[in-house]
Amino acid sequence: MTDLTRRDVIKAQALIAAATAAGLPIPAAAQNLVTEADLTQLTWTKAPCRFCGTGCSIMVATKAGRVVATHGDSKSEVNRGLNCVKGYFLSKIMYGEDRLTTPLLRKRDGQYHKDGTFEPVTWDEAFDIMAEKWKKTLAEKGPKAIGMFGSGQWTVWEGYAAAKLMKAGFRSNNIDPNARHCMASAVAGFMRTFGIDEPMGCYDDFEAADAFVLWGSNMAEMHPILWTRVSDRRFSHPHVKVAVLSTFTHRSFDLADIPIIFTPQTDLAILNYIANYIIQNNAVNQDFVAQHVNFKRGVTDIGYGLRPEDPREANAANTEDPNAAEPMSFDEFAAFVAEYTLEKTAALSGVPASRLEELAKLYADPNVKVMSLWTMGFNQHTRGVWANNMIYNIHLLTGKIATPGNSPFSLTGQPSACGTAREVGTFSHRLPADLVVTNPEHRAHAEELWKLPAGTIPDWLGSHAVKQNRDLKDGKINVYWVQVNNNMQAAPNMMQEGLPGYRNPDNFIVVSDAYPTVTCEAADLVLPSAMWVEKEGAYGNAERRTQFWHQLVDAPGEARSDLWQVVEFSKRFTTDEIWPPELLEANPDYKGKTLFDVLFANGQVNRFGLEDISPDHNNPEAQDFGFYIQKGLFEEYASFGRGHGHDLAPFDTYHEVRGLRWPVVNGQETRWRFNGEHDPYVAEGRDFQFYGNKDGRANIFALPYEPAAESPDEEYPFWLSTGRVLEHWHSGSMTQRVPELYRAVPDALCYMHPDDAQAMNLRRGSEVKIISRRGEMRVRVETRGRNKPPRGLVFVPWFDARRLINKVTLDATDPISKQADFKKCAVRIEAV
Amino acid sequence: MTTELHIASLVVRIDPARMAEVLPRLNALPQIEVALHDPSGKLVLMMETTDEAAIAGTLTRIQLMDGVASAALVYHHNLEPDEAAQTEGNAR
Repeated sequence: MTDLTRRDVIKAQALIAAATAAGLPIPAAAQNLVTEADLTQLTWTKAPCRFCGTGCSIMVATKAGRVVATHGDSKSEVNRGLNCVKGYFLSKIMYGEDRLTTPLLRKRDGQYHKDGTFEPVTWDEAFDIMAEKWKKTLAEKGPKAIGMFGSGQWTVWEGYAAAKLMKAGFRSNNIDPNARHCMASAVAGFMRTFGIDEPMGCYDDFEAADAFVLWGSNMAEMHPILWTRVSDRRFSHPHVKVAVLSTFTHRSFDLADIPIIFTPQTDLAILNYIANYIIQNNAVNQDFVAQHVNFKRGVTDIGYGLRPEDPREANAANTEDPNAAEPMSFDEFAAFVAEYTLEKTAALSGVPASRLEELAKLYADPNVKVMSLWTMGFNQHTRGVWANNMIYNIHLLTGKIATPGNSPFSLTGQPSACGTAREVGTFSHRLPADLVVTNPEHRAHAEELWKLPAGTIPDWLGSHAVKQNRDLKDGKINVYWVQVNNNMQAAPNMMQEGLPGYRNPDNFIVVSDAYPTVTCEAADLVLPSAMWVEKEGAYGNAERRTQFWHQLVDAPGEARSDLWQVVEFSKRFTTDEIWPPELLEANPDYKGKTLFDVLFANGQVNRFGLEDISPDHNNPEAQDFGFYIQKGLFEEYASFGRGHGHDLAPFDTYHEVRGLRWPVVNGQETRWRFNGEHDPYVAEGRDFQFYGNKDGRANIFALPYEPAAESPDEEYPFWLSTGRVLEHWHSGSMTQRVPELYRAVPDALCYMHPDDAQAMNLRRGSEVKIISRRGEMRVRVETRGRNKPPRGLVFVPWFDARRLINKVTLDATDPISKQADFKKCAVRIEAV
Repeated sequence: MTTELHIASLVVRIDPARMAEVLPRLNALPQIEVALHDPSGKLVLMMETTDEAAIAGTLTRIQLMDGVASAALVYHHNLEPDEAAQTEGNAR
């Protein structure tokens, strides 16, 4: 017997955890060692990661009120004990030196002043000035002049409470999430093809597929844990093929059997070529198509979502109703895609014909189960909804859908883009559970569930993300509240649209965040937010999995959760002050009540008392409001979806399990929707049923290739694509605070082909100006990095607050989804 | 001991066809020990260091290394000075 040190024990524990995660046998010596010693000393609790949309479960260790360690949760089906570099640093994101701990208001001579400097104020003073500005705006200009911008990082109940306050309290649909920049095209794609949002498949498809096709996605850097599952499948099953499509070479190409670099925007032509190949080679699954599919011809020439006076908008034929479509036959569809021949598509896309054929064969071969994966490449696209529709076309033509391994799968970029932004109705056109504000029946249903008078919810479409910035600049929205995101850095065309709107003297801008971001700097009032495990929360990931966590540590200083901020603010308004007299005359019971009373103390949200709260965890929101507000909000929200295909389990269940994939019916989650063997919503005896559409059929859309909003020319000869890197998440407001990550990748770089650099007498490390028709920024050149663009294209990531690439980008959007295209605009490059 | 000791374990997925070429490159990394590997290309790496920044740096370096498909961190523990040498009991 020898003395064991703590170091020995920890090493053994680390080895066991890794061996378990990898599925390798655990060395017996390590096993014995660990059972011998008391390892814990720390309290370990589960929480989902607060970065990307994968939804990894993390075990979080706390000691003396601080998070001191994290490790991947071995009980999680998503990440099976693994953790990427960002997830690893979760424990550090809360402890940056410049954490915001008190409200800050721009003041001059002791008074609020738009051009004043930030001074600390109390929450009372902060809410006083906010309420004053909101009431003045509502009185003078009405609900269309107020706006809110939230996030796919809101917890489920935060997004739900904010949407309810805006739509039912302030009676304004001007609320939108930053998921508009991320997922809107995916949403509109789902709604057009299937009539119901979110993927039919799930992550179990990774272990069942014979081929993976990445459409623009760089999973190796952006979804590393899911990429581990792809590489596991590829290496342990030699028949498995991986195809990677992108406009430049990146890390995911290392695993590519079929690497494809295409000219920006020509993905549309490639998608139609594959459909054509399937038809020409008799690979259509005739039975499936006959029973489950409709064909539709979508309108074309739909513009680019620019301001109406822009010639590209004014001259487009179908900007009024870009979503319109007419029925067509299979033969007409076949004729429509027939022009996308191999020769034509190869010439247009710059992809060798042999590569295109290899790709088409994967889809056409009835014995190959294909998983298609995409994120921003399809979604941030002026024809992003079309791209989403067109990938479904291919899976529907071949019947390769909604069965294990046959899976068109829209990945997400934020932890609750699905669970919050989409599902609870934070988009400007939506209500909970896929209901929309423009449908009178949907509004009536929501008013009934919310116990509110008929006519409370406005019938007009609110302003979406890009339009909100335009409305701020034009003085149409005058008070504006941004929570959990950094939209000044994230939104396109910052110098012409974003910044002028925030600094418009007529406007009052409030930003809630944990750190002083670029958006905070542009604001008038900054509110300090609690983050991640400083509050009780819930997120929903890309595979419809809802996951909960408890509050594990207290927020620093005066920082408060977004939920507390929204609900506390609602106490400052009475219905008499802001609802129209005729609404109150018809419903006198609502007179003289605060918005808190009618929205949150409504007999439903306040239904669960403090006795229901976990005795082991703090819950300051519940303590402040006097009831278990998170549970009340969740249960009220869940009433929208239960029995309607969006069933969620009871609240308490989620604190016990590692998440469940909705619909959860009779305690069972659903892995493959629309599939009779797996989905309880499919009618008895049917093999498949696309029940989101009334006729039970999915729609195949005939849609053409159309050019980008802006392409390179003599004056601006380069394509600019923006995106992300492995180490930093989105705008870097959290990951740039982790010294290790900051040191690893401190600055954004301009990735460029070495021949392009040489032609301009530039070297690796040279500083250049990137100039577009809208603005310019400075950055250093990288010719040998992880991203390798072809000639004529540069890639610049957007995480760096000191090198703002969105000064340059164009605010063109998909006309249907209103999502901006951050992947394509024209720039010129000059040496500094 | 006067400084913190960081112990971490990593799971790395490499192309099995390139095992012979990648393994020596991993072994050559400072503070890294290849603890387990199997023919399918799965590896467990142990890392012990007094510099926490080295963990992120090394993980990122491995993730971006030629022939490596993915690198993930599983476990990380930060031992306070003097804690590492504490006796925890006896090994059998």
